Amino acid sequence: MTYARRSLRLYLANRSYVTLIPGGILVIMLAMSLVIGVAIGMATEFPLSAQIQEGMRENNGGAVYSIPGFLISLGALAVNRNFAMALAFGSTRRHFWLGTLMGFALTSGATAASAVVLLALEKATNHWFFGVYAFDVAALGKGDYVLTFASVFVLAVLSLALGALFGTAYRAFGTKGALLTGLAAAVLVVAVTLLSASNKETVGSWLGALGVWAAVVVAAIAAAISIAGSYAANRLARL
Amino acid sequence: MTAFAEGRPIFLDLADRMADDILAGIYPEETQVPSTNELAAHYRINPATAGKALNRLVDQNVIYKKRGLGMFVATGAPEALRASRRASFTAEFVLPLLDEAARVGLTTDEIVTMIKDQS
Amino acid sequence: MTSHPPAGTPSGIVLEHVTKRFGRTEVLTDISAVLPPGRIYGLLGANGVGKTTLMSLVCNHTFRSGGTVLIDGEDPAENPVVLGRTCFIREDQPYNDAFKVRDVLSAVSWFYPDWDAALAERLADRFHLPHRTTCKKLSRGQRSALAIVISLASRAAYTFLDEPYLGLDPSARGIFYDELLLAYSEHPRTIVMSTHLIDEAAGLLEEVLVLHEGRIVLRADADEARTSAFVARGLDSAVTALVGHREVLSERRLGSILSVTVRGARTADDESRARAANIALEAASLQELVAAIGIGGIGGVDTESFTTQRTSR
Repeated sequence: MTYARRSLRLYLANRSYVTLIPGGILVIMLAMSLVIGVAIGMATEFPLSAQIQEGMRENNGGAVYSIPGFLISLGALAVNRNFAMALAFGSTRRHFWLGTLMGFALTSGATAASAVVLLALEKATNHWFFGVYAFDVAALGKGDYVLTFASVFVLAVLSLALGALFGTAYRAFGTKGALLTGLAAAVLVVAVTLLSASNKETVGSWLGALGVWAAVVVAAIAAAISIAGSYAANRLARL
Repeated sequence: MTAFAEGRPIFLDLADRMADDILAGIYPEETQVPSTNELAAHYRINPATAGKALNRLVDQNVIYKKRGLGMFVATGAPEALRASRRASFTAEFVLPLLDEAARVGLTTDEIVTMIKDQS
Repeated sequence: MTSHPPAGTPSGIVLEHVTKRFGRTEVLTDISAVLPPGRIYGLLGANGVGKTTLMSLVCNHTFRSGGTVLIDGEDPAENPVVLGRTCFIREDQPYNDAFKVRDVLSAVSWFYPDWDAALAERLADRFHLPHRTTCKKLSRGQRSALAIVISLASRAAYTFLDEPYLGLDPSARGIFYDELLLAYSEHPRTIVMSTHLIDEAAGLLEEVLVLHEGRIVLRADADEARTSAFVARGLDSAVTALVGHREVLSERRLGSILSVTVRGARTADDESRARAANIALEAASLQELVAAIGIGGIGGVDTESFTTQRTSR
């Protein structure tokens, strides 16, 4: 464990990975939602009509869209930039991978915690005074704190893991390899989707049993696959 | 940076320099000479090379090792150095001098005059 | 957790028939060498000959195509104990561009149990390393200074320095040499330094390994290597007669004047014959020797006569 912790320290040397960035992503997303809400309000009325509020609650997926954008690139950067240093300082590949994974958990935890705090704030301010729904949305679990935390956490881990997968594939196989990995991932997603479509009932009942946790579980499985892939690529990565 | 002659092993040059210093009285008999690390740091050379130079002087009985303290100039070393240098004076200095003199056409008398003028 | 092998276990670096191919090009061929620990080794050779690649292979930063590497008796691949004793910052080392110098120094301290923070501070000071500048904005010289600070303060048992003085002005290089010697004498360790500024560093090295066309063509005590070649210059025919059957490393002509770098030490016989035939004999510095090897190669390599393998000190 101590060896992996060295790479965790390396990951944390840039504090913003666990402080600014997680919260920052969501604050920016919130700002965008507020701007949209205020724009609509200026065109219609303040506070926003019940119809619009309901629409926002159901459809605002901003939280979900903003996270992958930032964190996929963060994952790729973390792996790419820190890998060279870790090896230079005598780390093994697997300990670097493990330490970075621990760092991802911290970043994801910080992001999820920020989401929960902002959710609480949203509820306390009666949806940001104007009736803007950013975190109390269907995408995150309609205001359920546990579900919101889990959703954001898993989504963050998945994003970071995907970024790490591509970053590591690049280190191991070069640009061509990274593209091929992307292709393979896309093929995998299409294959799973088709498989699910042809087994509609089984998949449908299974997802139904999971209820509101369905999306979280699917994302968690995807994250696990990405993590496994990045581990495999990591063993082959070289400077 | 090292200011040692090319074409000659550094440790030989260093040993000679230390012998020069001992002859000049910079390190009197029974006083300590610099350690391997001190020499290495001063001349910017590898400590092993400095060690070889000191070992050479030990082999020639110019310095000796006092356990736990370092290397010291042996009694009688300056005299011994002087004697051995006198012995090799002819080969090292006189013969080349005569060679060059022959090359440029100086007679023995001319050489003697030159020497007398200078001393 | 100890950073040194227990007494009695094998130590040092052992390379046996190490080979490296990039695609179809064989860059390093049949590299074999035993490097006893605690010495300063110079890895010499022309630019691009494979010095960085070789050090990379030893530390498993890139994978060898064949052969075995042992550090302290074990394969370093994915071996945290053995790798933990190494520090290899390459000449074109990528750092995290977003990290500041102080972030890097703080992070690296966790990788080395024997990290000397006071030394790191003192060295950063001596090299005027700006703590708050991001790695992206560092100049070539500052990057070298950073590598030196980390390498020396790590106290790593196996420290690899890859052209460590690039971008450093002469006074900074002087500081580096002094600090290297100081660190080495206070805490002896194995140092492998690649360099093409050979003459400046020659005095610091205990042994040299010269790479040429993917092979080790010379392995010798540094002092002996420094005196293992000489230059004879004079009339064509006279020089050729003087050289006889000895190996010629390189030659240059200016009209009927021939200048030849000869392998081997010059003898008293050479000197008297040279005086008689009006041939100038000069020392060939280690730099000239390596350059001559680079130009002409060494035919029929007889490394036996040049290898001084000491089994114990």
